[in-house]
Amino acid sequence: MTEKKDGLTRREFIRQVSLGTAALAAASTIPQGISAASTIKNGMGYRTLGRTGLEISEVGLGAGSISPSGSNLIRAALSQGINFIETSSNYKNAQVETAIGQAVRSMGRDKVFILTKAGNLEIGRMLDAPASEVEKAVRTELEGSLKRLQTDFVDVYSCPYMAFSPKEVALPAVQEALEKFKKEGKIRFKGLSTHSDYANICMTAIEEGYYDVLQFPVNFATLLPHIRNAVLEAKKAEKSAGGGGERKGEGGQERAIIDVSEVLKAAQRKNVGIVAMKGAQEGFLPPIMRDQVKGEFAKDTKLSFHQFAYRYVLDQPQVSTVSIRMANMLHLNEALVLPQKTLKG
Amino acid sequence: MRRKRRGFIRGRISRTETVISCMLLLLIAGIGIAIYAKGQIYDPNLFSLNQFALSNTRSVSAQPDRLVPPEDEGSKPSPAMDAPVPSPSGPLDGLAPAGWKTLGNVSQFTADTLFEKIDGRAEQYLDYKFVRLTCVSLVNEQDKSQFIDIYVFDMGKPAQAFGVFSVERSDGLPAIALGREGYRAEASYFFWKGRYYVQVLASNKGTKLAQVGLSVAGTLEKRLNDNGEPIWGLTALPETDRIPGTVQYFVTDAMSLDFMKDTYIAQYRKGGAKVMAFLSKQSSPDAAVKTLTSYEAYLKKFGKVIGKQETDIYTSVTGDMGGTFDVVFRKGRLIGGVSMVENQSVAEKAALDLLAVLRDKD
Repeated sequence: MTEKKDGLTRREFIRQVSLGTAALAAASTIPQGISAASTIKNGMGYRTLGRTGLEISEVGLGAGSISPSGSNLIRAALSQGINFIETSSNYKNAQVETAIGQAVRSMGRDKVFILTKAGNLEIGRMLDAPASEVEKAVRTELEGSLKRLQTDFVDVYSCPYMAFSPKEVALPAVQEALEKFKKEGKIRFKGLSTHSDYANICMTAIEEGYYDVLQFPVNFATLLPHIRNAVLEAKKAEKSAGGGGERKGEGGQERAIIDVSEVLKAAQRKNVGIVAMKGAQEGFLPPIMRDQVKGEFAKDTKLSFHQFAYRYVLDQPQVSTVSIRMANMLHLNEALVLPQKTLKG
Repeated sequence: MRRKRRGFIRGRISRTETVISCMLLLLIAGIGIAIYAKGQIYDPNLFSLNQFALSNTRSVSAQPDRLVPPEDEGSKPSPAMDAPVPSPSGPLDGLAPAGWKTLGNVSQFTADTLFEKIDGRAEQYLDYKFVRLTCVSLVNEQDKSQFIDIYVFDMGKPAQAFGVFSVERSDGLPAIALGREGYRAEASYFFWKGRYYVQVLASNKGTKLAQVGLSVAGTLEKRLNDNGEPIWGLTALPETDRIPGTVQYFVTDAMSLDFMKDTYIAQYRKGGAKVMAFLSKQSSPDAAVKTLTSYEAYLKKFGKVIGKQETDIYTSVTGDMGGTFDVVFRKGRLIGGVSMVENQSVAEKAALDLLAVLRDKD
């Protein structure tokens, strides 16, 4: 049996190597999804928020729409395994932070990670301001938040909030102020949020290496070129037909739909945490296109569109959490099942 | 034959061929590793369809999309209007006091265009059946950094004006005699009168600017009509022990409960405890029964029901929500109760107090 002195003929060896390589290639194209990115405990998935090391729930409580009387929603969310709240000092005239403070006080500060933002500051207007003035303004914002949240510290403090240009993320005055607050024990990690020009802004932040957490739109349109093009074409057609066309974002800016796939990869390389937002927002995917998108991925899905859209965002392993705006228990109930679902339902 | 076939098998392989073979095998292994490593950074575009056909026909979702992000809720179709419509006259004309002037035109926004002015917050106003926003800016002629933005929201009905005013009001701000109810936040003023909710927003703090703002707010307040229509919840919720300025009206999602619509909420001091009471007039007794059932289901899901009482006059349910207590009752077509009270007996007594007042009023 000379031809099998090593157990295989070359032909058999090559065949087996080819099969193995093909299998490896096939395996590597399967989206990593929840099983690879999350640890499941009591039905909730948890992921690491980049280099912060915080183990946060992959379903984040986006607090922007919580009613001032809604601290019970926050309590319910925390009791069901959500441990990450994303809020801002300007949500409902700061009343959302007050509601969070009430809930957190009764549930225990150690049960939750809080990200809040300097929501009343426009850092873009302070680019030339003296450092002391910037520090004072940010301090006023932060201390107001701490008071309303009834806590001595926030886990992630986002400043700038809604950054409009890369200049804002490289502003020494802001960075110095945040460092000072970190030393004072008022913030644990530094973040930023952005709604416009977010690919550039985030890439600048990642390259500069200062920010630990980024928050920006992650959804079908910002991830997939063909959907992005279709949405932009649809908006263009609507505009030329006399409709309103592009809906503007906060501050009267055009709502940008920008490719973020490279941002996700870069953030992963630099271990920067990603808080995905606007996962299902109408401005990024008009209702008229929902069935088509569903059909492309899972035609007979049992998920509602919003569940489907958020599930898709969670299928991106670089995403640490998806912030889902919840106004009521119905929204909470539908979000809570996401970790146990696939796109098919 | 055998000898001939064996002739195809070489007993010896040259060194060059061995080296080349090893290199090829290493190359294949390298490609495999590279593909695997690439797979760890999943590119969602890798296998996406290139030809995503955009149909021009309007499609209807086969399933209810219930997890609607509130940022999209209530949003209207894209605006038909191109830009804010200048108003030739109205309550905002000629408001600038001496030393101040109007900056630009008076502008107006409808439900379709409100997001152009206050995107991110427009949906809340639309929930309250917003009709029209009229706004203008005044600027100090000597110091351009000082300006006052004036927003007059026409909410259609007094209850809706009160509602949006009440949910935007922050705790602890000083009340001020403007309209039916008003308050001051540094140099800015907020009040509601009739169907209007008004904001007079100053650019900075400071006593002088606050005085100008108050003067402008006072002038404006006199120009706005009020038909005097009473607000049901303000009279139905008892005034005893009620903390002033805490009544709020929610058209939907009161206490974050999707089934609690048209609900009034107020804060009370009961003994040393703060108690949140709520009251809602449902469309019929049957509707009230349904709401109570939904409330009980919520208590069961996120806490546990620890008491239930049924009399000829009312039905009540008590829930332990893990450290706080809710008591909800139905009486006729009224749904009321208390929520998130830290002490069970205080919660039950406060609910009974509320129920008793309602009974007296019947």
